[in-house]
Amino acid sequence: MAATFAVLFAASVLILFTFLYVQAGRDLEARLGTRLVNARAEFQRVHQRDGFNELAGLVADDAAVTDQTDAIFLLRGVDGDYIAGNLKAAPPFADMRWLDGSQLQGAAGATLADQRYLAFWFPLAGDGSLLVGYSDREIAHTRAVLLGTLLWGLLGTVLLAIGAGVILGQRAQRQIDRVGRTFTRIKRGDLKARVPLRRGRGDMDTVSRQINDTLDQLERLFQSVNQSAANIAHDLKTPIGRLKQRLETLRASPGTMADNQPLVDTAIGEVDKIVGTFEALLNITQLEAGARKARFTAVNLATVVANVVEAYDAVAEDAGMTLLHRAAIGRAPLLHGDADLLSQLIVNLIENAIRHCPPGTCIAVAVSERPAGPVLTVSDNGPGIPAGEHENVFKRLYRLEKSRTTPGSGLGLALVKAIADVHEAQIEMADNKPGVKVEVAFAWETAVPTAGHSGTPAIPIARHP
Amino acid sequence: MRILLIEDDRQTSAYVAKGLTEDGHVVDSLEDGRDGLWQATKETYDIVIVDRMLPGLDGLALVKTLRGAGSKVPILMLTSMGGVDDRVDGLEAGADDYVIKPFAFSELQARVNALGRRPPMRNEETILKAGDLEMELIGRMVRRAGQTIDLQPREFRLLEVLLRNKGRVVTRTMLLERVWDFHFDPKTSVVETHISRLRTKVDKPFDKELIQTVRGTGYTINDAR
Repeated sequence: MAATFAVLFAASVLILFTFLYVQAGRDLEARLGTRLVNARAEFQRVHQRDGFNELAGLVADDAAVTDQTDAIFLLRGVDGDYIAGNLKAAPPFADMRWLDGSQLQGAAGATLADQRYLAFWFPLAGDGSLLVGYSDREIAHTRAVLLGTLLWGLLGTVLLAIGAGVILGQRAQRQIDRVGRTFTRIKRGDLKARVPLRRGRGDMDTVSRQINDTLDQLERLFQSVNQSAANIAHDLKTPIGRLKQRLETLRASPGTMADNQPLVDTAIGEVDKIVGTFEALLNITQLEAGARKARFTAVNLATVVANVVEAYDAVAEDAGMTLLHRAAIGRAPLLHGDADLLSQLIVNLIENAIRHCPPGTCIAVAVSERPAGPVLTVSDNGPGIPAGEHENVFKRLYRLEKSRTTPGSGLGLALVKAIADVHEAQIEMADNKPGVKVEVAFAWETAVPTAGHSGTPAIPIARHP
Repeated sequence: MRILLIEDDRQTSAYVAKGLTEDGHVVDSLEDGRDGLWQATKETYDIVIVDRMLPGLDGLALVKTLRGAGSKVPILMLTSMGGVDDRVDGLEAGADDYVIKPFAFSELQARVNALGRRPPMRNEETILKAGDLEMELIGRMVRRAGQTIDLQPREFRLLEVLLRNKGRVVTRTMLLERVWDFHFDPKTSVVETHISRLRTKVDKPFDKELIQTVRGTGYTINDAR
């Protein structure tokens, strides 16, 4: 990566410097041109004002004091013969052009090979012609200096770029390596691995912190799934184990089918329970993913409650308990939801109370209202649950220690929570002093009612009594 | 009855066909959805049993197409997708009933019998009878051997469902759906409890037991023998 930076840096510096170099050269040459034009104008004026001889004298003087490496003069007469100047011969041309020194023959007879001249050869109205030229010695010198400076500068820049690139690149590389190593460790199963943080505020540091936060969450989810999987495995192994036992007993049993009917029935019953657990899990997962929400309509909570209470009145009575129903007064408790899911929720709460409370307990189901919406409360005056467990019981497959041996999959309350969540309701379990109180707070139905309020699904279902 | 069974799982298909044939029905079995649709439109059946997931043509699409073509044949859907939305999807597509796998054959059997009963004109009867038990639907009165029996609304509905299916088995699940509109399986014995209450009022004071328990399946009401 450092190399890339260096190359890029060097390339941009090179482009800039080339531009400068070329421009500077051009500028200097242009100025030389201007000087030459001015010189010609001057000589022409002298010739017009003072005559040819005066001009010849001027040229001779100039040639005498000027080094031929700086300037060249050649004055020719009408016949083309040498009159004055420090050049003996020059190739013919018209106007202004660049000459190579090797084309010129100096006073001593040798060529002026090392120079270039910008020369003007102009006629002198009937008296001959004059060549004036300036060498580019200054320009060449300047160019050389510039080039030298630029090259040194380039070298310095490249070294600087390489140095900086190496340092920065290495630092970034180290950080990337740290992240890479962390992920390798995670891949290998060490979920506790995190990116070591420096106390910086750079981009890489921010990213590293974010990665760590994400890994924290990943670890939590993983543990939660692990725990669920462990719970599921444990809780299903028991009924599956029992099933196996019954089937093995059946296999070993000498009786006829009729004799073994009870065993077979129990075995099938176990299978049903296992299927039930899986289906409940599936339902919970689907609800958590938001299934059913598209089908929500306006539902009257009071109607749903009345239906369930009516069904469970007798069941509670048979279990030696009382089921009380406190109906809502005031505004009709309409909410946006699914009547069947709500029925399931209430049924699960009532069944939970019946299962865990002794005979004589009183279970109450009430519908009330708060400013935000209708509230459903299911409470009992039974033995209650320990204070710290009020939130835990809603977890999937969670069983209180004391309930571990009672029948039930531990999914009932998890399903209750999933249903509350998909209805966007707040659910809370509290101490009823004594007993347990579960409150589910919904929001008012705000949408325009479709098929009117009902406690039953608005979908027409073909019913064959 | 003539039954068309469209199911691609061979084991399930054989199991169902065998059971229904033993009941005295004639069963045509197919495995592909497109073939099934073709067969259903070509021939007349009393009931079509369709699996939700089929090769060739998805079960849901098959039902929709069949209904769209104007067919009024009773349709029962089978599926292993017990998802919360799937039952409603199936019923909305036009199916009349929906059974979730794995199912007990008796459940399927009871629903097939309920769907395919003849004649449909029974819906217009206003008095249902079983033995010396009489139920008047308009006045909502129940009498046995001349005596009026006082029933709660749900008890009335429960008895009504049994009477409308006189001689056939009605499963627990069917009762939960039709009497209480519960489309889930409660853990406690809601149905048993109410049947027991109903029996106390309708059977106990009298000499013959009309409401019978069919072990492992459900309940039925018969004319006393």
